[in-house]
Parts: sequence; C-alpha cells; structure tokens
Amino acid sequence: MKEERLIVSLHPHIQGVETVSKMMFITTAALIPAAAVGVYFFGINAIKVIVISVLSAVGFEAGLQKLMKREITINDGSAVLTGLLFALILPPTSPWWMVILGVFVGMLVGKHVYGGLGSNSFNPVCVGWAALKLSFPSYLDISGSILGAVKSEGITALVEDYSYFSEQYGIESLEGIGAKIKVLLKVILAWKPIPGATLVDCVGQVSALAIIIGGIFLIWKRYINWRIPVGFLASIIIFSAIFGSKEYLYPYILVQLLTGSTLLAAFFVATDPVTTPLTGLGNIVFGVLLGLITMIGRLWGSWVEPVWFCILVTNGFTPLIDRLTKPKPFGRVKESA
Amino acid sequence: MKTGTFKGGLDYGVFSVNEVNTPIEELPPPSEVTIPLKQHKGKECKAVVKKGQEVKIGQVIGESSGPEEALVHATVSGKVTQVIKRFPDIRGRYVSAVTIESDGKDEWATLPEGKTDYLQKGPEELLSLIEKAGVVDFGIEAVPISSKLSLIKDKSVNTIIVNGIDTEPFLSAYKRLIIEKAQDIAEAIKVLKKVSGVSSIYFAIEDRNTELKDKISSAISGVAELAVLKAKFPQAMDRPLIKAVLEREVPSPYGIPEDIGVSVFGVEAVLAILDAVRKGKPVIDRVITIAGAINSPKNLKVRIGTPIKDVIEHCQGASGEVAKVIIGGPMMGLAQYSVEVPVSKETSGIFIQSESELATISNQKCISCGWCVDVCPMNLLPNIISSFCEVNMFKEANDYGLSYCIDCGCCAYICPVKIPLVHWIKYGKSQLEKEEK
Repeated sequence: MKEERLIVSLHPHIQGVETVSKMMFITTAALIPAAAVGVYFFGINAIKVIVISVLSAVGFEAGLQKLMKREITINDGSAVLTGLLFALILPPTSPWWMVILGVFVGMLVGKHVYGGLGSNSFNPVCVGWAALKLSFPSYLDISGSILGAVKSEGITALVEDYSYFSEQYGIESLEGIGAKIKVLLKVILAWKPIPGATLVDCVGQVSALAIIIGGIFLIWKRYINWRIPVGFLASIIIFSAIFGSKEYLYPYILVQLLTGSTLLAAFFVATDPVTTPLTGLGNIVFGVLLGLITMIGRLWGSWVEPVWFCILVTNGFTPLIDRLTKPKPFGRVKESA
Repeated sequence: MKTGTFKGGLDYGVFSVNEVNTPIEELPPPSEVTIPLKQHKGKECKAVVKKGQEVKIGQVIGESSGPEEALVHATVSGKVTQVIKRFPDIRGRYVSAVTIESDGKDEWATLPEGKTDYLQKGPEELLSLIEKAGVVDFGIEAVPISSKLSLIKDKSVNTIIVNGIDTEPFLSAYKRLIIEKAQDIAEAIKVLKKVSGVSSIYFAIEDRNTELKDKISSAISGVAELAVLKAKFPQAMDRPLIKAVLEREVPSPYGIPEDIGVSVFGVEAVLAILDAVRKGKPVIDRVITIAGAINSPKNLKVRIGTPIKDVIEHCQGASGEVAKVIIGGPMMGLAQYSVEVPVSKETSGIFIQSESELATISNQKCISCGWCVDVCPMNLLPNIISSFCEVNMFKEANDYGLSYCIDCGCCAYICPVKIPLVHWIKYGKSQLEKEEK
C-alpha cells in the first residue's frame, strides 16, 4: 500500500448516481411517446420542426457558451431537452427560420444572459415561445383546435352543433356514466380533428395519453416533482369548474384538462427545477397559482392557449413563493427565531 | 412495540454497496499498540506510565481529572516503548499517546471474572465501576458515560434511548452485537436503569432486518420498549433518532438531548457498562466494521491502539489501489492520511475506497431541483446556505439556518450537480465562528 498517496477530503466520501445529464436525458426520453404521436399525425413536417429545433438548440448553446467564454456543456443534455420541448409546443407548419429564431431567443434571453443553466429565472422554452407569439402570431395560431373551438364557439355549441362527441365516437348522449367513461377513454388516447376540418394542434400535444405516460414515468422515477403537476391539474379542474360553462361542465373540464398544452406544461415545462420553488409546499403553491393564471388567461384573455406565457408570469412569483414557504428548521427555539 | 420515523434522510436503497454481515471475529492482539490519551470529548488524560515500564492489560495508563474524561487502559501486556507528546489523532490534531510493545503473553492486571451480585450494588458503586473502566459512548463524539450519567442527574432526564442502529450505511457492528448478544443487552439495560435511575427505556432498531428484530424483541421484553424505525440514514444521530422514537425535537441549533429530558446511549456502550460492572473489565477493545474496497470485509473485535494497517492486513488487504482510508463510515467518516493511525474508542469502522469510487465535485451551478431540501433532516435549504457560504455571506447563510446543520452529508450525497455542499457549509460554520469572536 502506497501510503503517501492517501487522499484526505471532507465527507461524504460517496455520492449518489444521479447526475444532471442523466436527469435531462431521461426527461428527454420520456417525451418520445408524445413526439412519436406528433410524427404519426403530422408526418414529415413534425420531423422537420423537431430536428431543426434540437439541432439549433445544441448549436446555440455551444455557440453562446463559446462566445461568453464559458465551459461548453452541451453534454449535460439540457440543450437537447430545451430543443425538443420547444419543437413540441410549435405547430408542425412552423417555418424553419421561425423555429431557429425562437430557439435563439429562448437560449439567449431565457438562459445565457443570466449565466446559463441554473441561473435563469424564466423558462427558456416559454421565453422563446413568447417571443414568437408576439412577433408572428399567425404562425402560432391554433384556434382551429378543440380548445380554440371551445373558446370561440363555446362548449355548448361544440357539443351540440359540431356533434363532436356523437359523430366521432358514436355516443348518442352524454348522459350516464358509461358514455362519460367512453368519451374519457377516447379523449385520452388522442384527440382527432373536428369532422370536416384538418387537425390543428402543436406537434407534441396531440395525445394526452402519450404525455401522461411520459409524465407518470418521470414522477415514478422521481425526476420530476409530483407536486407541480398535481397542484396545476387540480387547480385547472377547480377553476374551470368555478368559472367555466355550467352547461356541459364535464366536457368543459375535460377539454381544459386534456387538450391544448395543459398536460405538456404540467409534466414537462412547468416542472423545470431551475425556475420553480424549492420546497414541496412551494411547488404546490406554484402549481395552483399557475392553474389559476392559466384559466384566467383562457377565459378572459385573447389567446387560445396562454399557458406558456402564464408559466413565465408564475416563474416571476417563484422568489416570493420561496420566501413565503421557507421551512422552519428542526427544533428551532423561540429565542433564535 | 413502537414505530416511527423522521423527516428527510436517505433510504438505504440509494446506497449501492452491500452491508457486511459476517459474525464478529476477534483480531489477534497486535505486536505493538499506540494508545492516544484523548479518545473522548473533553480534555486529554495524563500519562501515568514511563518509557520502559512493564504494563499489563487493563492497567491504567492515562489518568482522568474528572468525570468529563474517560480513563485510558493498556490493551496489551508488555513494555512501554514511548510516551509521545505530539501524536496526530484521527482529526489531525496532536494528542499525547503511549506505545506499548507486546510481550505476547497477554496477561491481565486483574483478570476479569463474572460476578452475579452486580444488580444488588447501589448506583454509586456501579458508577465508580463504570468510571474505572473508562467507558465512553463510542463513536466520533465519544462522550464519557460518567459525564452522561451526571447530566442525567443534573437535567432530571426521564427517558433513555438505547441506540441499536449503526451510525452509517455499510457499518454493521451494532447489528451483529444485537444478534450475538441479545441476552447481555437485556442485562445491560437493567444495570443502566439502576445506575441512572431512569425507568423509561426505549431500544431503537430499524425495520430492515427481521432476524435482529426477533432476537432483541424477545430478549428485552419487560426491560425496555422496542422502537422499530423506518430504515433511513442518519437515523443514528441524536436529533433524528429522538424525533423518530419520541416525536420530540431537540432544541436546535445548540441544545442537547438532555434539555428535553432524553439521553441516548449506543448499544456498544451499554454492553461495555455491563462488562465493567459484571466483570470489572475496562474498555480495551471494540467491535468495528471493515468495509469498502477490501478483499474480505469483516466485523472485528479489535484492541484499542491497533494500527489500522494491521486491521486491513487481517482482512486480506485492500482490493485494488487504495485512494482513501476513512475512519467511521463513508457518509460522515474522517479520511486519514496514514494507515498508522490506531483504532480508538472513536473508531466505529474503517472504510476503504479505491480511486474509481471517489466522489467527484463540479463547479456547475445549482439547478434548484430541491433534492437536498427533501433529504435534509434538519429541514433546511442546503443549496441556499451553501451558495451564501460560497460568496462569503455567512450572516445571510446563518439566517437560513447555517448553524442548525448537523453535517450528515445527505445533501451532498444526493446532489445531481455534485456541488460540495458539506464543504461549503463547514467552511461557512468555521468562518461564522471566527466572525462572532
């Protein structure tokens, strides 16, 4: 035994196997079902958007880090995840230059001006989307989707006039628990286009089921915190029940919950650790607040799907939530409080 | 039977190395021992032997000046070869030490013999026997039992928890002691009741070993109440342990368990108390676990003063290139710079690490995942405290509870970024102390 080579350092001498890159790549893998459904429905257009977005995200990450003379960390997988997520929230018809521009703004303004991963206060994916939504609203228009139809026509018109549920799924009436379960099952498998219209939606949010599979997997593996999705989805249900159309309340809640970007936001975007609170309680507060802001945006705002913007707004509340939910240390006595 | 748990901590499932589960073996007495004269919290003992003097096992070589120190005894028979004034201990501080060359005869000063009348003795008499034996609450903070017992009187303690949980993952000495000496433990608890005057005693174990649970629950029935706790690290530390067993919080950051009327004794200390009163046997050895990158991991009964290199050799040497030799366990142990360091009352185990298993650190930024917050048993925000310490904002770090930290290392273990949180927090604590002075 070579004694002079013994290393002396502080404990702990062992460490866990989890790393940031493992976290990022597994989260990326959990998005594959959602992306695959997108590719199935939209074909080559979806592939184009995904490839352009991922490649440009990795490229901008490396480029900006080189420009700012920082360590290049494209291996940690966070750029790949950002790129894929960004592609999944864009319509498949997005032109290539717009995708690249969005990724660039997200990477620069959302991440690297703050100092890179861990320092940003706002979610880069949402920053990129917000920039595109404000600059090129027509390219990001999804008012032809179910959520859009509900917004413009109202849920009553959708259910009665479009005969959406009855024609698509062969359900005569929405009365009775059996019919409701049938609709629910059909809905979570995948929304289909409104009869006579083409499918209008974003690449990654066609199938609720695909997103839920990925999300549950991540929660089971503990790569994402269950508190944000649970808080957010519960809050969507509660606030859509309070504010939403009382007639056909059940389909209305279902539309709010399962269509649009609700699930993708709940499991993959709002759970970004960097821009969300630290404590368990803080995360529940964050989720509920995000749900409230989203429902306000959907009901009284002008956009069909404001959730990405709402995430940015809620990110702004994160420091406040962190301050209010600061935990009480173990065994604190009054004097030292 | 009671059950319970505490907030935070690490499930044993996250640790990737298996636990040593071999019966306790005795290590043959070494040819030379180096016995530090400070193996406890408190002041150093005064050497009462000279160079060249013949000593026998159990002979006092370090005299204490009060109940805050524990007597130090010779652990082999032979000749004192040196009384060293500046000997580096496991923390790298200098203490006095005595080296004894064994004559191979292994003769006792007074041979320990089993008595049966020990439970008839009064508390005062028992206490003096315990003091004479130099019993401490074994572990990195080895508090002399005499000092703990006097605290029980001063603070009118009404509950004692006997801790049967090994301090760290991979250490299994306590577990083996419980399995092999369940009856003795029950006897020992009776002595503890008598000497402390406390009648409410809990025996704490974890729920992951049914053999252990069956053995001990039948042995101690009627003597102490069994508390079976959810297996988690750092359950063996006082604060989480008392929370898990009694649902009570020790005042923090500066309180001690005795403040809320609770005292905690390790199972090995309790057995040493029994040896002291039943046989008059002083502490000359202790059971330690040798684990990690070693060819045959073992639970060994080792004479105090045995150089750890002898122990490693007995376990057929390290497997592969040795990078770290750690006294204690891998989560909270102290890395040593030399294998000449002797086993002392503060040594609970030896953990060997090879180059490939070393923990890495990174200079990446915190991603605020909150995992450290989830595992912190003190309910702190370790990442926030650490980042304040990193930029020398110690007052702000303390506002977030810097001084509450118990150094368990769960945060640094779980961190996916590999931020050296314990390093920054300990740095912050030492700087805060300096600022306050």
